[in-house]
Amino acid sequence: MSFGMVIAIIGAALAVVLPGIGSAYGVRIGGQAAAGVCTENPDLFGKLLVIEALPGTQGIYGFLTGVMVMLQLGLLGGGASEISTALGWQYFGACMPIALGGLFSAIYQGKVAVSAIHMTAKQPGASGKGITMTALVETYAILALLISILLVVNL
Amino acid sequence: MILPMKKATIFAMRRDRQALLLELQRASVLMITENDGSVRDEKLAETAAEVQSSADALRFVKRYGAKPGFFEDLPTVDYDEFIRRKEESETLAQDAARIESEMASVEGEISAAKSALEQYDPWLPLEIPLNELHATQTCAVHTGYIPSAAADRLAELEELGAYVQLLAPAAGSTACLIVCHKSADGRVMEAAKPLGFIEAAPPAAETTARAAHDALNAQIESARARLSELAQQAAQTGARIREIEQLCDQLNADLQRRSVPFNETESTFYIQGWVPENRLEDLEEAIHYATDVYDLVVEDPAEDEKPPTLVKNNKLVTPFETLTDMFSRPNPLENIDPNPAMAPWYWLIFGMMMADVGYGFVMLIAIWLFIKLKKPKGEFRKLTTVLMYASIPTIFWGIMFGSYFGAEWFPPVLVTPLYSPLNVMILCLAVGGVHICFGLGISAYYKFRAGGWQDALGNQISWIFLLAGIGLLFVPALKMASYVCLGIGGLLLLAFAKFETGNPLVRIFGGIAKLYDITGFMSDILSYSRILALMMSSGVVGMVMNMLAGMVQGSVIGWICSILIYVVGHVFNLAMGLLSAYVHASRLQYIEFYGKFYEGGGYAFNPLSVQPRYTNVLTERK
Repeated sequence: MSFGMVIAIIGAALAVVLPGIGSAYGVRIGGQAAAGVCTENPDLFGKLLVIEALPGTQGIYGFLTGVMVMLQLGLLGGGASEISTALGWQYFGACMPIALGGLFSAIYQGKVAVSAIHMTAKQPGASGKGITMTALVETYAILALLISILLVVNL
Repeated sequence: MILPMKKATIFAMRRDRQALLLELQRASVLMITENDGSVRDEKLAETAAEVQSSADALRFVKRYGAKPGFFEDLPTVDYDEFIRRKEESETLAQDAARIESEMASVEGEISAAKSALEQYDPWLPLEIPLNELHATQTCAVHTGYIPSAAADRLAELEELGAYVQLLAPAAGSTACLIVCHKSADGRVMEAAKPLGFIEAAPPAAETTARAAHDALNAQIESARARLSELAQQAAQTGARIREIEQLCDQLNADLQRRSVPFNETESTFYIQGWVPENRLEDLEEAIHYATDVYDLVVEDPAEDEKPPTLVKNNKLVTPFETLTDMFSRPNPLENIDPNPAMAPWYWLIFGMMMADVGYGFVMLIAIWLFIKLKKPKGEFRKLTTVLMYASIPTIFWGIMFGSYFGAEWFPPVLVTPLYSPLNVMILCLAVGGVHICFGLGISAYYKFRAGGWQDALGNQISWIFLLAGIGLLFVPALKMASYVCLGIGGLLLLAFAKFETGNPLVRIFGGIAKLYDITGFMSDILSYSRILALMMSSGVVGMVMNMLAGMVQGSVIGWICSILIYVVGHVFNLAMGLLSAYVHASRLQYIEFYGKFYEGGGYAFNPLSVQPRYTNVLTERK
């Protein structure tokens, strides 16, 4: 395996792992807050689940980017071609937007989700507002994902 | 459309108040408001306590009751029947409360007996009644604990002339009995101390430890029997859980009526509230059923008064109201109902985000079945209906982009997003541009209607031309049209954006400064790139699930695993896709679209009505 391939695979791995860590953290703190609220008011479970799940999407975006890189490199279904070191670094760079953007946006989105969950606990009718506030953070993960995809597809 | 509201004041005799409130509750037309010096029913606190205790009874009985099936219909009752107080249900609820408190006390008894039992354990080998275990004329008697490790050294005490009996062990030490002649007492105790002997009296009892122990055991046995008897009784009340549920609903309706604020004199009273203009007749009719002695005064709301909001739209738009209400209800003072404008866009954009024929059909069938069988109520019903409607554009865009459960069963009509993302992104941004221009157009319409045409030309129409011009720049054949649009837009902006200032120089420079708003519009339009991102994320995850399912095929077990992966994977992807599409399609309406023309700030029209949780109440008069 060429050095370029090694670099590209490291990039794909980071694209999956870093947003995954962020999402796990975000969903974790959201889940803890939701579990606390559910002890008082089990009826809110459905609404809280939606808010808790929101920071989970970054992990999916990272996963998606990883799969795209694998497809491009021919790592899925065999026939992997050897690539130059420079191209390997290009793949690595293309993975970085979602790797870092996903990591941090998921953590911060989780924190907003906790606040939204607390808000829903006090005013169940306001859950829609909480969902919207939480979703605003995700915009930057989506932008990062788009750039990563556009870069990967055009390499 | 926001329904116009009227302010109604009803004067009537005090003796007719209950009857009137019952009729108003049945008709569900009047949202009663608070006035200076208004009071509440004197039995309000009492009813609130009844509501609480019936809710407690229900919560208890639920643990024992038969679970209703997921799709089981709620029982339907007529309003007259619904409000009739049923003594048997009330006794049932009281029974449930009694059983619950009795169970708690029996459980307390058992745990007290259990801890008492443990205290007797170390002293069981003593064959003498515990109260007779005391010093005699010549003998000293000591009871206590000695560390189990030192037990074999007790012989030292026996050498000093003491009688020592080891009893039963308890937590690292052993209970023991030391008897000796009083003359040897000092020496023996002196010797016992270094062994770790700690004096302790056995629990008080008139019998032997064994007998006391057995008595406690018998007590626990009978308490357990009582407990299971009570559980059986609870199960019997549980079988009649429907009656308690109905009681809860009934008491809640009662509480609603008693919470109504009213003003009274010695023999008359009045209530005031909001009624939709188109339901004035219903209000009058409802009052007629209660009494003939009344006066009804109907007024328009005062200039600065904000009536509650009730919107009415056609059948297709109505479910989408729930999305706007989550953001902010329409404000009657602003008098803009954005729902008819928003609904088609939400519908279209949601479909673009999902864009899969298979998922579209699953949504259509599953949600249709859910609504038919489970019959959700209120806001949740609206939301599920929105999702069902959204399955249609999901199927449409799925055909356009050739996505069938994440696979390409048929070639796409347009392009495959995965292989030509730029083209799809341009389409998404174009949809965004049109969406935003549509919002600007609505804003301009309302400004024209209010007479502010200069403001509309300078701040809305100008931007529609500018955005159209920028869009056309990318179409080489329409270069000329693009320049014309940009020119018109720019001129409108310079001329009218700062129309309120008279000085023409300030106006032009103000207009130039306004050009800076382009950054806001650009970020709004770029925001629509999320449509592409969501489309691709559900597409690629679906593709991966297909691939994983394909990898394990080959044997019988492989095929079973494959089907499992396929089904679970796609259900997960569909759920996540629905969540994302719901959230992000809403966001595009709230921020990018509503930001252009809509503020809201109304509050809901909540008339006095029956709001049953466990029953369907028929309020029509036969």
